[in-house]
Amino acid sequence: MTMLDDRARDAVDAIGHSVADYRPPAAGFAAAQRRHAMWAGAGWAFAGSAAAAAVVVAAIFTPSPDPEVATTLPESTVVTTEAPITETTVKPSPEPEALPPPVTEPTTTEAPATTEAPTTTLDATPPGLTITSPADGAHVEENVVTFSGETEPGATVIAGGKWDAGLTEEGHWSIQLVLSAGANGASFVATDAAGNETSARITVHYDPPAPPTTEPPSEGVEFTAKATYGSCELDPPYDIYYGTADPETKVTISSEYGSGTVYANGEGNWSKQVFFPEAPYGKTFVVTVKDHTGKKKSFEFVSWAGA
Amino acid sequence: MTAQPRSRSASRDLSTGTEAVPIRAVASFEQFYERELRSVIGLAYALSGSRSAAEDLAQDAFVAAHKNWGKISQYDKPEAWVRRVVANLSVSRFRKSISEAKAVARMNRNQHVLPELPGEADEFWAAVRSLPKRQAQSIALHYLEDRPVAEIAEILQCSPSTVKVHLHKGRAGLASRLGLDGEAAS
Repeated sequence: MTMLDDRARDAVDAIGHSVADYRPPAAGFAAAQRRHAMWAGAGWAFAGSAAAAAVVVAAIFTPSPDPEVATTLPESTVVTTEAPITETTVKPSPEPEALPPPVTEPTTTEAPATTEAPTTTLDATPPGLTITSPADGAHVEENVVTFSGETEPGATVIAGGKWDAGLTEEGHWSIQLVLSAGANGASFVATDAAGNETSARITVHYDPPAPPTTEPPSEGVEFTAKATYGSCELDPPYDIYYGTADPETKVTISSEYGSGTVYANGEGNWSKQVFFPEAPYGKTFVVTVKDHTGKKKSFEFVSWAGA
Repeated sequence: MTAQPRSRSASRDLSTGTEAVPIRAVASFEQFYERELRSVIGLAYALSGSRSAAEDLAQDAFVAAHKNWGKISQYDKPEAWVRRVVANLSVSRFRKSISEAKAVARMNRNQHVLPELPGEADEFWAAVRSLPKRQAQSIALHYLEDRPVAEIAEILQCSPSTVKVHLHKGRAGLASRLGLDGEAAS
């Protein structure tokens, strides 16, 4: 331990004590988000009045998904405080960011750099929630099912009371759930930024494949399957599956984003390269390998293509 | 299927059989926010040096994470993403000035500001902030969060060897600025 490390430890402790005293908004992120939205524009206006020579942008300026890049809202106004005051309109970015969703409490919208009176918004409308797949009452033969649907952009969707279903900016959500044999209930709750909730529930039946009615031939080869990579950074992403099966029989590899079939050779060996061109970046999904008798093995795969 | 709005009290109806469970459990954003908030504010405080702007910089990062939670929640380490955002925001003078202005604007409306640091700690973090920004970020993540080189590299999106260089030069620079010459990068 050096003196530098000693100084660092004391400095770290000081930050720790300071942050420990911090009291976040009682209502959690929703309250912080509302306050953030309320004051998003105010900072620009105050900064402009405090620094007359500084260029001030009267727009919400939030980080894009790329942490190195920031974007402005479409059609927001750029104002300079250097005389004479000029205004320029910012063109929409390729992927414009959405305004924060409406709130329940009356609140001012983002403070513009003009003298217009603030407006108020009241949101007491529950978010829409639809389950587009699978259908209620559906029977499936796979025990892993992707549930997907739509809700209000900016809302959250929780499955089974505690699991977050990933939501896109457009309001599409999806989550993979594992089913037990028989009837399975799947419940979802969408909550918007104002705390309004909507729930939906469907029942899906998992019908496991019937065991093979005939014994495999005594000269048969034990079914085995392995995945080579489990993930891929190349575009299109792929994995190579291989193993053994009864000679000259078909092996099927299937998933939500790519599939393939292959026949075992005379010695019972097989291998197959399967591409997943539509696999979403960073999303783990299941790939199932099945032999001609219905025996199967499942693997996870995740695409990092374009990283 | 379209659902109807309902009351706030959710209850699980198991009458239709077993409840399906996720193949991969993902923490809700609120859980993520509550777990990471204080340490992210601490990082923002150390790197920005502003007790008024730190909270706002952290909220900027969390709002960005919330907007993209569908994607970020699938990452192995969503906490690395939010730290990268706040580390980049905090070393930006422009963003810091905007956040300070916002804090001033709402100063009388709430008390969500951090207490002042003791003199020596303040001097230490000021020395960190005077380093080149990548060195400052590496040093802050190394000391403040006790993160290994590999994790710092993941957060800053650079190679571990680059982080080692930043840490080596950063420690040397810190020792010089704090009058601890001879301590450099040991």
